[in-house]
Amino acid sequence: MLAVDAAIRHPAMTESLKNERVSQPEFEAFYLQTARLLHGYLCRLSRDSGIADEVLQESYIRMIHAPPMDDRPRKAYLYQTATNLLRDHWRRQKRERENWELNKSPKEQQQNLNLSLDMAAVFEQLSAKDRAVLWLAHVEELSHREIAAVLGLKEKSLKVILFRARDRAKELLEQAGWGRGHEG
Amino acid sequence: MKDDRALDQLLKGMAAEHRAQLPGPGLIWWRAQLQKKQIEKERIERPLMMMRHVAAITCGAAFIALLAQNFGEMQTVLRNDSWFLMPPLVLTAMAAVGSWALPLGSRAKR
Repeated sequence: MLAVDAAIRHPAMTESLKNERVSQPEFEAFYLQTARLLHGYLCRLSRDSGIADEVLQESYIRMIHAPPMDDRPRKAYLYQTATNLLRDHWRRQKRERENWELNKSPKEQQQNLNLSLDMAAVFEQLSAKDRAVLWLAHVEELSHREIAAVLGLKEKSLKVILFRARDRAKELLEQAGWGRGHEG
Repeated sequence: MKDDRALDQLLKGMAAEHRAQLPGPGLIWWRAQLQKKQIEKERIERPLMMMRHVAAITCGAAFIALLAQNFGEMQTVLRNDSWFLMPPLVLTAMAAVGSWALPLGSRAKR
């Protein structure tokens, strides 16, 4: 379980409460616009829809308490918060490296998600870092700088990681037969 | 499968397929307001809690001072089974215990 209490007592959050924040209608519009894809990102990253639900809610709560910002930096802030919360969760379980760096996808966890699509099945075979990078670059279309900030990486290394992640994904897709018959 | 655009389309397609039962934005907004109130409550109560601790420490110190000053007399009184004749000591002890117990009680309720 994620400790919501920890968030309550977060000093940065306490400080930010003194400032003006997002209004409710503004938040609701932003939520409806972004929540489904953020949930998808968290599901793909965590391979657990329960954890994805918790992290999603906590990320939006932190965003509400954050200082006001435009939609694009807000989205990057949201993804950064969500990624950090998920990594904190793994860290508490002492499984960060296993989840983030390595490609470990236990069969029972895969069965929790609907993996009927070839792409989804291929995506599952990548490491969480590769999945995160590909999602942020292609689905959310964030810039290299934004992705680097979200994932806590340097912009230069991000380019290399993204290039390699694309290569790995293509390789896996080729192995799954994509180049041969049903591409497009 | 060399084309980046094809990969891009596949990833976008996969993301578009994602369906989830998400909580309404109203619920999240409500939870955020609850957290905000909780933080504000803690901020307001902080000086009060400090004062309680200071009071408890002062009472404890007074109790020990009284105990030290009147140790000889106390022994005589206790030997005669008339300890209830020491109201200042008893009251100070009760105040010290009360000051410690009150903040602990309010924390346990939360």
